[in-house]
Amino acid sequence: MTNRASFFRRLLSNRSFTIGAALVGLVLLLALLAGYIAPFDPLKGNFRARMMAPNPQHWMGTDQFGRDILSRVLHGARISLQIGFMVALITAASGVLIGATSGYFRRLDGPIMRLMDAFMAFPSIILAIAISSVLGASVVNVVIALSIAATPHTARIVRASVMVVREMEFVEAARALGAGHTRILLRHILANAMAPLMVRMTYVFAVAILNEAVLSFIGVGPPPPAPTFGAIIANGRDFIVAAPWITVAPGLAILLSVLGLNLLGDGLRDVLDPRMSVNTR
Amino acid sequence: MNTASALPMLQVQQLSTGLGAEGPEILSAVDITLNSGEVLGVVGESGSGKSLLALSIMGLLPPAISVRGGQVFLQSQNLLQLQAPALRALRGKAMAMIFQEPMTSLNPVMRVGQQISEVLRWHRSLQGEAARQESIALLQRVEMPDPQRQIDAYPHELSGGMRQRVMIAIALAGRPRLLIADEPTTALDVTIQAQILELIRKIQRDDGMSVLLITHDLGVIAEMCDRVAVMYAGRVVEQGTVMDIFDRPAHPYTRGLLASRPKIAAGANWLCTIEGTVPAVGQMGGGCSFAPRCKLASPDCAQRPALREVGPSHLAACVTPFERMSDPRAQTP
Amino acid sequence: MVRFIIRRLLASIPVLLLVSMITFGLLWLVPGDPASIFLDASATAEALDRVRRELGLDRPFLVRMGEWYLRLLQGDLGTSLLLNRSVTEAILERLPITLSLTAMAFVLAVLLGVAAGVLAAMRHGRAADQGLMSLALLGLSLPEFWLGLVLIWLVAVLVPIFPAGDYVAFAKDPWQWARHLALPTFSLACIQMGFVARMTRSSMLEVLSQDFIRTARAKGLPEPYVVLRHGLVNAMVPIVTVMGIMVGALLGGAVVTEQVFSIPGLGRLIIGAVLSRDFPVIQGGLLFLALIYLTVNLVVDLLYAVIDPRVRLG
Repeated sequence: MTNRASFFRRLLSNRSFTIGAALVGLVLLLALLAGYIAPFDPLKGNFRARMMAPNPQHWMGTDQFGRDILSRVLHGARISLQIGFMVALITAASGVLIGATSGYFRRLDGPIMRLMDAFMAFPSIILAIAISSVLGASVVNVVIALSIAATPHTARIVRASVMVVREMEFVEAARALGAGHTRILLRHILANAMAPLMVRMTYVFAVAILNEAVLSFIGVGPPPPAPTFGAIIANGRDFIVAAPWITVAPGLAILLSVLGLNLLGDGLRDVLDPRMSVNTR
Repeated sequence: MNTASALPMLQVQQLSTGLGAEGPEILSAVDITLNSGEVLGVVGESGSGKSLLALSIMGLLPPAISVRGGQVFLQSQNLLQLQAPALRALRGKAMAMIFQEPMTSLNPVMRVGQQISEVLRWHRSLQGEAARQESIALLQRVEMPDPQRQIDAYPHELSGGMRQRVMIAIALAGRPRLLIADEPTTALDVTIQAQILELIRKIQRDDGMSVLLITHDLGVIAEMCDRVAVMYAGRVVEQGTVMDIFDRPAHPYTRGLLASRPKIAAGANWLCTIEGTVPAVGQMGGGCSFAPRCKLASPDCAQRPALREVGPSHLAACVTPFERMSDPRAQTP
Repeated sequence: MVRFIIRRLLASIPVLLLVSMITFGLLWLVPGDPASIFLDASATAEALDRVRRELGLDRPFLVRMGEWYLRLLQGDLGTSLLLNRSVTEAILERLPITLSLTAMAFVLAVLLGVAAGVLAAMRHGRAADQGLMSLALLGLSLPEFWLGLVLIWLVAVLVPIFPAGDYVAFAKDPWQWARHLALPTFSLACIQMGFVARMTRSSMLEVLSQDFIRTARAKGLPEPYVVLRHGLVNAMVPIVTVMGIMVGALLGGAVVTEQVFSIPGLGRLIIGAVLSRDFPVIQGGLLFLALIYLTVNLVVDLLYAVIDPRVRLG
């Protein structure tokens, strides 16, 4: 128990983690409450309020249809965070499944890793674009596409942890005591892989938000009229001189969310395993 | 060894270092004299500060540790008062150092010959082929087998003994007057240890180099050194010739060290040890640092004893040194 | 060394096989009829049939796969449904543009990233260190395409220093070529620059704390020389290993950057194919990108063996 208590204490005293957590918490809150706090309907235009620069009624201005940008950004955040979260969850599950199997059962390792290598040979964003376009535009397909793109690297990380622990003596001891494969895997080995996995998941979440924006920007993301970040930016592109706020606002929102997640991940890594960290001495 | 009139090669006076500006003290008023052409051994357990002493002299202290007082004279130059570039000009040229772990002390991705010729290029202005030939000559001097080929080897391709030879060659390249050897054989196999020590002794004799040899091994001291300084917990507790230390140890700690060496012929059941442990940095009170473990401790030991003469050029920091001379001269600090 | 190369080449064959199978299998993933997805609701029955025949959908699976591989070995990636020309031709035409953009971004990311990382490591703990690392973190949290748009707005439209898009061939006018590629290169390189800076810094800090740096200083060598010749060379070793991944990420980013800056490269081709469901082009483009990535990784592995002699034994 004291171990866990001191862990949380260290976590909370890590500046990177706390700032990141605060940012992510803020974005999460805003996104979850989007339906309630958005001042306007993100999809409804107001002809008389077209192309307005940020003002007291429309804090982030309006677009060419008179749609309030702030409301669109809030709802876009909700979509992006939902997608990001789902991708992180699914990637974690599939990554653990594939990575643990590959790391633990030596005979399956070779072929599984070759397959992972093959998937990693495609730049992940391109893979996501291709899969998304082939499956068709929808939130579910975007989640599938992004998860497939993120899984191989995650599986690699899990596999590495599993392989390290597999060789340790206490696993041999457990086996000598008669513990079956599943038990060993679950109790001992996976517990060890948790740390790098958690760190990896914060980055997967962040990258998913970025990639979803790209997919939407190009046009293979969730179909219109969904006010995703990418769609807002794509729309604003044509009016970048006349109404730069349409482009700037969602971009800043993405930046904030991703920055928060990155800081969170850095802090987590500092505390969980300073050796992995980019920031320690 | 008749150096009474000549200037000592190295003179450390009252050197103190500590953690940062206000942290605990690590070295405390250390006095060391190394005469020209002589081998001075500095012996002590781990934690005695002997390695830090060497690093302080070279000016290679880690950033966390700083010098707090005292002087270090290399012949007539006060090293502690030199600006960084001037001190750097002496490193590798007037004074050189070899380290304990030859594997990690050599650049793993640079050929061994290049690591030697760096010194030649920088300090002796040798270039290209001349530098290469001189590097081979140096490798021959340190008795490296097949120097023509090994000059292009990488450190991981060499054995521990060979790597240490390379380190010695690097140290010699600048033709230093002072060589500091920090536990040069500790990380090597026993058989190789003897070879390396003999090599160092030979070079020292041939060149008349002054050597500061740091070790925890009394056997090495006995074999190699002319004079010895014994350190305990960041302080020098005894200094004298090697005969003084081994035949007439004056300080209780030195006595304890010598007694704790296992003797094959003795047939005893228990190893003789010094009870207690070395105090950690910052845990020493005033007074003699050895007092907590000393069987002869008395209320007088509450005052830190100065190094006082207990024989001709034999000093010990103790109020009740063993074998008082018939006419003990108490020196005022 | 030669044996190392051969072994490495042989090891990539199974991956190549799998890559081609994945690319081929993409078509099979399509929910429904690819032909009707490509055309649209108003297509005639014979148009649909024609497209199905072109895609090989009228033939059994194994025959299709066999034909695919046969044509692949001849370098034939099929015909674009939309443009009605050879996919291979279309790709090769635009490949140099994308490659040059990617290469320039790579060089920029490495140069600036390493410089920033070394500087930060040398000023460890001080203002410069914190500042550079904050910048790096910001850089890798930005959406690239958004940065591209913002840059266009700021320095191409508001203050017209750079052109807002398009591409000029190097052969035609080197100066304009450079001007046109400046903004895309920078926005593409931003994220990777951030990564490289952070990695370089942590690697440098680790290397500078090692014993052989102390030995180099004990030799009396000047500090900048020690930091660069002894420190950086060793610090680069782990960075070289991730260079392959970097190029992969840059290739992906290039595709999007081309879209933002209207550069007629491979990326634009693929995006166009994606939006119009031109499957042969999507497949061909994917395959090509994977091939480039695998080749780059091979080169990186070889480079790694050159830099770190300890690797050659294994």
